[in-house]
Amino acid sequence: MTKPLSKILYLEDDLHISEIALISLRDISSFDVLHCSSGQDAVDRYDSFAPDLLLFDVMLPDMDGPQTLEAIRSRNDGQSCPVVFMTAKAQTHEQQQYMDLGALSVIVKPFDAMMLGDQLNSIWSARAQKAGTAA
Amino acid sequence: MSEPAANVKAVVDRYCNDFPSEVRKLTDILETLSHSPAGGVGVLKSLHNEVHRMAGAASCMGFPFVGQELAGIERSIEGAEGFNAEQTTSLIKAVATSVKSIARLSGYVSSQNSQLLRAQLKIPETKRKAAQFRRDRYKALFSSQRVMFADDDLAIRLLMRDILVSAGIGAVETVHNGAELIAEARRFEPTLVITDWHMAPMNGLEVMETIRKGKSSLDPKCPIIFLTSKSSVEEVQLAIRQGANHYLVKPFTSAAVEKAVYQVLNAKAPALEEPDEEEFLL
Repeated sequence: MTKPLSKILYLEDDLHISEIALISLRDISSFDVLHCSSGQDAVDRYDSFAPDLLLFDVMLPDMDGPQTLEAIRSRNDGQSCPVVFMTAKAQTHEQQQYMDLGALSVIVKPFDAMMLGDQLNSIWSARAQKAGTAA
Repeated sequence: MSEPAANVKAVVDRYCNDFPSEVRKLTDILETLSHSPAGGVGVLKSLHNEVHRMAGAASCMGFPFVGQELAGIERSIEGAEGFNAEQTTSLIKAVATSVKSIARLSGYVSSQNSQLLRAQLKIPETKRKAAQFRRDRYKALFSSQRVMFADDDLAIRLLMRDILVSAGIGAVETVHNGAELIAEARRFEPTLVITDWHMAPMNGLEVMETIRKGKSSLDPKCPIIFLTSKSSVEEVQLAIRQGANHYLVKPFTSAAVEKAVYQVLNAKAPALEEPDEEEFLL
């Protein structure tokens, strides 16, 4: 049986968006969440936190979401835990770019604050089902 | 209100308080850029980052009309890295105009107007039912209405469209000025006109005179609501005596707009009791 989703490393540079997301993820869905506001911080804390899932904003100053994922993978023999990107870019081809990086899903902003945790649980369950079918 | 909902409201309140200083950050970056447009690639990038972050925040906090305006600025900055000094100067001017427009929206960035809170707040059942009854009553009247709104400020047009569509108005058309309103009214055939006071060509007063004197395609009795700043209230009150039906003072709330529209369209019906602003946060 697949482990339930518990630990999330959340990367978002906007203070207010992250506060809303954390209410949803921690208070409503009871996830263990580590919030990082820069890509470098996420890379530095990835190993010690050992998340089940990365929840990354796409566009950030200095190191963006995809670059942060790449940096984590390059320090871990090309591997990382699953990632879900969050973006305001609603166009299908833009979202496909992030799926091509191996994302489980792309959540389009503005997200439904109260449902964010449920949304991640659904994505997590779908992944488990897919893995079960593949096996 | 449940604890998470109260926490969400607290975050939105903080966002609303911080909004003017966030806009000032953009103004500061533009100020820096205007001093060195040729060497400002790095500054342009930081402006792009800030605008992108703010657009996402505005949308997430339930202010899509601000988010759309900021996303428009973001698009205009994308691809500007190869611009020469002249092109950059021109871009800075255009962005500065948009930022001023966003700054004027600060008064609307309040909890009462947050779509996020409308969706999240839990209100006691009795109040909720009363508010729903009122909204149903409004919607029954609004769904058959066609509202034309004139304002020279894009952000205000987006906000008003958002409020009117959310209130259940059947068709909404926005135009840039009075002359355009009179011209487009022939095609759109509005049942209600909402117009800003100061704009050109043709200000709000001229719009009213044109309609009331039968010099447009509209019924001379077509209801008219004026939108005005606090400094022009006395002028607009005079206009009311001359034939306008109602006025709204900026910054307005969605509840104030819904109430004014209802009262104007339903002038013969008994006046509704004063709405509780919170009841519209459903």
